[in-house]
Amino acid sequence: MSIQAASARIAEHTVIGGVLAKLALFSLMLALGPISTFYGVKWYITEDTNLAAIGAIVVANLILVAYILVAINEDKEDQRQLQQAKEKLETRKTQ
Amino acid sequence: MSELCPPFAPFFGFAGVASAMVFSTVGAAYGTSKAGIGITGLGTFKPELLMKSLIPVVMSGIIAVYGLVVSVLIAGGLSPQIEYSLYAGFIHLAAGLSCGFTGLAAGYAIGIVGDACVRAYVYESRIFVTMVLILIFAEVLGLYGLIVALILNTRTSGLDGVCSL
Repeated sequence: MSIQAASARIAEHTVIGGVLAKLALFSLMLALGPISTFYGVKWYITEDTNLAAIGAIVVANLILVAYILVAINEDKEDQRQLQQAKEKLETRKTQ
Repeated sequence: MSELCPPFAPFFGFAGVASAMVFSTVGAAYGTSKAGIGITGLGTFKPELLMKSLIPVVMSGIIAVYGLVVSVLIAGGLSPQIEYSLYAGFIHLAAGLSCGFTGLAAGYAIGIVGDACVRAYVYESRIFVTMVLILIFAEVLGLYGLIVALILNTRTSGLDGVCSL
């Protein structure tokens, strides 16, 4: 596909392609994850509240790391598509 | 009621609960809004960078989660049935304040850094790694307050029978 089409696709992909769903999913995970981990550890694993708090904080930071990785991978995917479109244009020019 | 367990002791405990939640939320709100200004600016030029540029907002949310966890932790140790000494009240107040104000500081830093870095990210894509590094250092400030709050909270466990001393 042409470069313009690839760029347009990237911009469209931001709005449609499940980006909104990803953001909603991460917001939900961040809202529910740590507090459910806190009570889950407190009720089912150990009565020690400090361990429960540490578990909740670890879960919150894991969600953050997962978000950063998802964002980087999505950008890498878009860059790869753009690169492919550029290469196709180059090969067509030299022919 | 003895000298060491006055009736107004739970006031300080609940003040700790409230301050942990309130101040860290103020910090998270400032971080979200300030970074959000830069992100909407970036969104008008390059909407494909939006997912990466939302990282400051997610980190501000985590600062609020720190305050939430400390509030729940402290509130779990308060009850009308147990003997609640003034010492325990002050411990809980210190824990809440340390988490709250460090969350305020961390949220403030995340907001300003997030705003500046996402604006620069429009022009130079290598700023991304720098932005994440600076944001991690800003967030760790809130984590330090949470660690102090946790350590303080463990000191309330050995206080049984202090009211009848």
